[in-house]
Amino acid sequence: MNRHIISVSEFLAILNETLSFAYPEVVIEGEVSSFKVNQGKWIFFDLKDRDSTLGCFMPLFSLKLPVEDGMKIRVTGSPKLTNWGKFSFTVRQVEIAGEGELKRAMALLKAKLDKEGLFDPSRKRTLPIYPRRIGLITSGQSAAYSDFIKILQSRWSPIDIVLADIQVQGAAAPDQIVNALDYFNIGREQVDTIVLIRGGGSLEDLQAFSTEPVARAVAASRTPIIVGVGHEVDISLADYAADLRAATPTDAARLVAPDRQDIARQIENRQTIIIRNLERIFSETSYRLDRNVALMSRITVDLRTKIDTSISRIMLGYERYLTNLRQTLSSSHRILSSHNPTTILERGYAIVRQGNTILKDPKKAVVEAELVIQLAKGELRAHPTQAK
Amino acid sequence: MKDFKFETAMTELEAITEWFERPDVELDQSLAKFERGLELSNALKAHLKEVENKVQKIKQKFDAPIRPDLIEPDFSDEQSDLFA
Repeated sequence: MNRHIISVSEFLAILNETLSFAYPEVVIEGEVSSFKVNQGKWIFFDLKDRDSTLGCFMPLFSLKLPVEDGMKIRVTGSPKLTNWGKFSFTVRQVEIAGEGELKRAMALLKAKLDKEGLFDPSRKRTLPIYPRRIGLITSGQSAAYSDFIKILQSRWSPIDIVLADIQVQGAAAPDQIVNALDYFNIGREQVDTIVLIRGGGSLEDLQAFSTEPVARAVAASRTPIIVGVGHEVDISLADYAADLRAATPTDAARLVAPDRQDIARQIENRQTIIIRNLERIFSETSYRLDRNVALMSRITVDLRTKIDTSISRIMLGYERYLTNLRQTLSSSHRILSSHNPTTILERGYAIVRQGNTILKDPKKAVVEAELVIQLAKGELRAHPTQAK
Repeated sequence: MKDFKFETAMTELEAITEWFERPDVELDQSLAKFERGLELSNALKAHLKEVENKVQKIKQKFDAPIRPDLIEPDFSDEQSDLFA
């Protein structure tokens, strides 16, 4: 018998080939124990049930969920013999089995990310009020998608909606969500706001939105982001990480853009305010004008009164002056009359002249020279004989 | 109206409205402001007319990472020495 001798490596290679042919992909459910991370890159753990234990291996980046000892999980992968002949199960994907486990895993992850400050309210940014272009990440076949489009159309336009059509559940979902977020954030497509939505479903259906990579990618998004997953009661970790959480996909449509009716009313109100105030300014100005005119006319009246007063004052003064003058004149007249030589002659006096001289002293008279004696009613001519 | 920025126009209209609500405004200034306000609100109202939003679907698939540095490294060679 011709024995076929093979090397150790060849044998292990044959076994591995047989194993991968027989079990290209197996899904195994069990409880995690001895979970540890090696060199920050590799994960080793045992998957157990009541009687048996299976050593598992996986690269850290393949693990999208928080796993700890005692947790019941489902692993997908294939068996392998290492070069040291050790049997190991290489895990490609981990799912959490059962709602209770899922909630526990989510709570764990939430606590961890919360501690890192990923959900901190101070990280939340304000979204643009009137987006022109939005990045929509969802399944293009879903009711969530058509509801969102319909509600948005009824509220606001024009908006360019750039759709990243992805799977929103299942193993591929977390990666697709992360990649779609990257697509918008590295500027392949410049958008004002990102909207990540998914309709309602079981906790397991919504699980992709509560995985660590998705929560981190949402928190890291450079573009402001709204997340609306499931119904009102469902809050995924992506919801917590978003700038704005929408209760439902329809709610996301209400939050991403304003309602044109509201805005039309706002514009109308402002227009009314402007017109009303312009009217007010007009009436205030004309009131001021009226008041100035009234003021002016009052000043004119005052002035006229003043002038009148002055005139009457002047007139009064003038009259007084005239009266005075008249009185002065009449007394002067009296004085003048009393001194009139004719009046004195009338009383029997006489004026005696010799030549041009009025004689007041007999000694000054020239004897025998003619004297003219003026009486009230005529003259007498005489010659003095002697002077005493 | 291609470069019309709704938000900018809205902000300007709001500023004009606030200006008008001040108690001490001049008549000649208010006429210019009024004309601008009317022009803005008409443009804004015209913009509100319903038009169809456009949806453009990205052709790219999202299974593979978008950034080259995010591509997962191939660990198949390194894996073996860890079981020693």
